Formats: sequence, C-alpha cells, structure tokens
Amino acid sequence: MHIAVLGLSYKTAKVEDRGRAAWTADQLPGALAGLRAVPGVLEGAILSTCNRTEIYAVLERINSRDALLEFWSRQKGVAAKDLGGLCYFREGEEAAAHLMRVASGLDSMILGETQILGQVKESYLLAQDHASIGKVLHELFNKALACGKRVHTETAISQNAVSVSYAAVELARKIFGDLKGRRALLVGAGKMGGLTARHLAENGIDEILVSNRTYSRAEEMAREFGGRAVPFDRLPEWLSQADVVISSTGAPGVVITREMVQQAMRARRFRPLFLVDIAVPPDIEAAAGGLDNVFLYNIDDLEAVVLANLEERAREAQKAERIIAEEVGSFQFWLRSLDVVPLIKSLREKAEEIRQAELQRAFNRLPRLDVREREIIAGMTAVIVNKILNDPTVRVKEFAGGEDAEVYLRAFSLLFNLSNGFPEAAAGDGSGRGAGSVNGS
Amino acid sequence: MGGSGQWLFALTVLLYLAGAVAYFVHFYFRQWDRLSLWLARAAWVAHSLALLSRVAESRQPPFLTGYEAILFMAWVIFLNYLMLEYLFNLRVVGVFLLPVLFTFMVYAAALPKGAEPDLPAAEYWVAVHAVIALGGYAIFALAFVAALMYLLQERHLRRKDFNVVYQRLPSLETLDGLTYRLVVYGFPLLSLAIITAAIWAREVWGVPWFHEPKALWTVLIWFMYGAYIVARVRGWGGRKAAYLVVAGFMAVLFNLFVVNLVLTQRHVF
Repeated sequence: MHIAVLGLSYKTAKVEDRGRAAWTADQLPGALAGLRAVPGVLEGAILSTCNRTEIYAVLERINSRDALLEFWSRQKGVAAKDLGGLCYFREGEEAAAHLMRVASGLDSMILGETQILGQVKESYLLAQDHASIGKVLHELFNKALACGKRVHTETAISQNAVSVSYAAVELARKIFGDLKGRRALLVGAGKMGGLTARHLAENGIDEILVSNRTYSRAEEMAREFGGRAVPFDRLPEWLSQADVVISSTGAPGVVITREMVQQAMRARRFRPLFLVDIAVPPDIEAAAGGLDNVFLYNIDDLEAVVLANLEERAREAQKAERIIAEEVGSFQFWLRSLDVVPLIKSLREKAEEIRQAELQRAFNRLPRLDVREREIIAGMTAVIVNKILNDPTVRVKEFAGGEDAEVYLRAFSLLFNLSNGFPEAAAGDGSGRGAGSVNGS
Repeated sequence: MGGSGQWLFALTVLLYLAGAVAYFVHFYFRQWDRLSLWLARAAWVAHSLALLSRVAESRQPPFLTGYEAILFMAWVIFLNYLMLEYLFNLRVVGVFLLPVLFTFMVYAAALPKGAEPDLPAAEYWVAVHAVIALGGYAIFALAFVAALMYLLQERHLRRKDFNVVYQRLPSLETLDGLTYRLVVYGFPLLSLAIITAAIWAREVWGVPWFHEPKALWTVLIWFMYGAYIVARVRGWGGRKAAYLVVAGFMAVLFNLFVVNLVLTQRHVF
C-alpha cells in the first residue's frame, strides 16, 4: 500500500497545456471511475482547478508513475510523452506533504490563498460520493483539510491584501479601524476605482457616494454597489463629507487640489481623511498629502503595500511549513500503524491455531477429563499465549509509529514467520515510506 | 530593606526584562504566545510580593520614599495594563509598556532604598492623596504609551513604510480612541488629587497650596490634559492631540523626578 501523486500545475505547465490536461466538472465522475479501474490502483482522487490538475492514488506497488500517466493520457487524449514532460510525481511521505502544502495554499500562485482549500474539499467529497477513495485517502484528505485550516488560523499567511484594490481597503482599516459609520466617495468611473468601492462595501462601509462628470454614468455605477450618485460640480462639498475618497478619473490634470482638501478638512474639523488616487496621471495634487490628518496614497504606494504583504506571507509560510511537517508526521504515524494491524492479527491467528491444535491433542490423550477440567486447561493455555504475545504486540505498535518502522515490522514478520501479514516485506519492496521516492521519479 | 525584599525586587526587574523581550518576540515574530503572557503575569506577582514585603517591613504605606513611589506607581500602571489586556486583548500595548516599566524599575533601583520618610506624618489623608495621584499618573502613563503608538503608526502611514511594525500596530482610530478614553479616566483622579491637596495643605502646613512648586506643576499638567479633552470633544484630534498627551506625561515625569529632587521639600513624589 503506497500513496502517490501525479500532477501538473502553473509551475510546470502553461495555461493552454493545463487546459488540455484538465478534467471539467462533468467529466470528473467518469475519470474517477476510470482511475479506480486501473490495475494496481486501490484508491483514487482527482484535484482539478484552473491552476493545477493532480491525481492522488493509493497503489499496490511503488513505481506506478507510468500506469497513472497512461491512464491520464488515454482519458484526455494527450500523448503520454508530452504529458509526462509537464508532470511531477511524488510518492509516500512526499505525496502526503504535497497535498498538505497544496491545501494550505503554500503551492498556490498567490501564496496563502484560501480558495484552494475549498477546492481540495470538493474533490475529496466528489471522490467520496463516487466511492473511489478508501480509508487511506480518506484520512489523508481529512488531515490535509485540517492542516489547511490550522495554517490559516495559526499563521497570518492569508490575512493581508495581495491586490491593489484590496490594499486600499486594508489601509482604510489601518486608519479608521472599523469601516462602519464611514462614508466613501468614488470620483470617476475607472475600473480599479469601482473594484475598490465594491471591496469597501463588502467590508462594511456605510455609504458610497459616486461622482462623475457624466451624471448618468455615476448613477449607473451607484446602482451597481448600492451607492448614491452625487453631482460632480459640488465635489468640494462631498469631499468634506467623505472619510475615504477614491479617485480614478481619466482627467488629464488635477481634479482635487490641495486647496480643496484643506477646505474640506476645515469643514470636517480635521477628522482623518483617506485619499486614494488610482488614476494615471494623478487626480489629486500630491501636496494635499502633507496636510494634517490627510493620508494620500497613489497607485505606487498601494503596490508597495502589496509587496510588503507578500513578504509578510513568505515569512508566515515558514511557520506554515512547521505545521505541515507536524501534520505529515501524524499522518505517517497513522499510516504505519495500519501496517501493524494485519501483522498483529496474523500473529494472533497463528498463535490461536497452534493453541487449538495442541489443546485438541492433549484432550485426545486425556479422555477422562470432565468439562470443568477442560475449561481450566483451555483457559490456562489462553492466558499463557496472551501473556507471551502481550509484550511483542505492544512493542511492535510502538515501533510501527517511529523511525525505522519498516525494519522492525519486517523483522517482526520474519521472526514469527508470518507470511500473509506483510506481503510487501515478503516481496522485498519496502512498505512505501520513503523508499519509493529514491527510485521513484 | 531586608533580604527577601531585595531578592523579590531583583526578580521583578528581571521578569520585566524577560517579559519585554518575550512581548517583543511575540509582536515581531508571532512566537512565544503563552510564554509572554505568563512572564507578564509572573512579573506582576513578583512585583506585588516585593511591595508587600516592603510594607510588612516598614509597616507604612509603600509610597513614602521616592523609591517606593516609583515601585508603587509601576505596579498600578501594570495592574491597569493587565486589566486592559484582559478586557480588550490589547497585547500590543504591552510591547511598548514593558520596556517603560523596566526603565522605571531600574531607575528605582538607583534611588536610596532604606531612607525613613521625613514627612511630618504618614497620616491617613497622605495615603489617600498619594493613591489618587499615583492612580491618575498610572493611567496617564498608559495614555502616553498609546499616544506614542499612535504617533508611530501615523508616521508609518505618512511615510508609506509598510514594515512589520506597521502591520502589527492597530489602526489609528483604535489608538486614538484608547488614548482619549484613558485620559478621560485619569483626569478626574488628577483633579481629585489636586483638590484634596489644596484643602489639606492648609490644614497640615498652614500654607496655601500654590506656595508649593510641585502643586503649581501639577496644575500645569491638569491644564494640559484638560486642553486635550476639550480639543477632542470639539473634534480636534490626530497627531497634535497625541503630542499633547506625550507632553503631558513628560510633565508628569518631570514633576515626579525633577521637581522632587530639586525644588520641593514637602513632597517625596
């Protein structure tokens, strides 16, 4: 039993190649059934998003890359050779760690994004619905989802804005705290301005005023995010009423002068005013930013915020890696302890077989024993067997979770000559942990 | 002060240092979450025990010498902070407060410790007056820290410096509101301290309160904080208001440490 992942992502494949290799939502059930039918595949799940397509499988043997690749190429009609060049293949612990990193957003194009966690969950649920996964992938996906949640709650990896429009919202929050009770003024009809206004609305700002040279356009935009259109010629007045001003007009010159801002500040009793100028060329006179309690940011400043946030995410990613290592360790522990269960079971069965056979022989030679005496003898043999087997059973469970589990498990099965409990050991392949990755890819 | 008192004092100073480091590490690297909390609590417990042992030894309220006054005030500041931390989860304030407290304690260590109070009487009202005054100053100390944090964050926003400190500090609104609320709580205490002093000064020394340089300073401080509150009520806030709170606390420190040593005979703090 052996976990592997074969996949491609934005890191290894261009968008058109990703498109050719991806399954659409309605193709996925068929693909899962096909995957399950591949010889040697015990369990299978497929994660397919616009940035990655990955096949997770539990396989009978290591080195099953070609089987998976062959399946994929047949399904999508892409030559295996082409597909193979775009793919990465990981096995055992590395495959488990890969899914955990993916679910945590560490492998995403935008580091720490949370959407992927939902997509991993969807592919897990889909695989479950179509009964293509068993207990191993079930446990792996659950661990990965829990790991993703831990990463998002225990680190700040997904907390900061990584888009310019959202960076403006974040800055507004750094000034005003809660956006409740605040009013925004959107000047001009630029796309980025509209996006920022929408983010502000989503983050609880009370009211959005929209002002545009063309009043009908202002009305149109106001309808779009529940704002109120206001006449452009009374801009100074609106300026004094708004806490956040987003300017993105196509005007060639300055629309909001320092003088206008100064007057607005007086009218608003110097309460803080947050000005965002996303227009190129700028709409707001730069000198306005020097006024007390006026905070003026242009597009470059917002990009600097995004950059700083990405750096912060990279720092948090290191913490996330530690969480992932923990979760992978805990999954590996679970996986190894799976190996030990059949081993112990077969040892117990073997002992019981011997006990019953010997008991029968003894009873045959002592025909005059009554029921009670037989019971006492049978009970005694059971106690002897249990007491002798107790220590090895407990110890092997401990070894199974630790380092060198394979060596111990193999020694255990050889010592007790258990042929059926540990087939991989008998075949000399190793149990999948680590060993596969050496000669895997 | 006896052996156990000295030992507890040293332990307190060390715990403040360790707490300051741990809070910084938590602030900057988001590590040592539990550790920093427990160090701060341990520092407070050690501090309380140090005060108690002092009282047990001198059998007098613990603010009759300059050393004691600082020890006591730092304790009140920290108690107030811990309540703040507990109620509003404002651990970020602790990052800036703990070094201040550590400095206080080191300063206190440099002062003579064993001196008997040279006041005419360690009477009941002296204790009341002192507790009220120190309580007010303790709250102003917290307001000072909040105002400093405001200025720091304002500077980051103005300079467009989006570093880790910027990311960890709360919003201007939060810091401004915190400063304001603290000053509003501290102000009545200061007023009360002045009133009690004015009434009792006549009775005890037989001189009007304004013959005492310390009292004059205190009235100046009262005007500074009063001006801040008036300004805030009228909607005028931001950087200048924060500077006023910082200046107010500088005056408090001057009052406590300089006026005491140089200008006055009657007050020990």
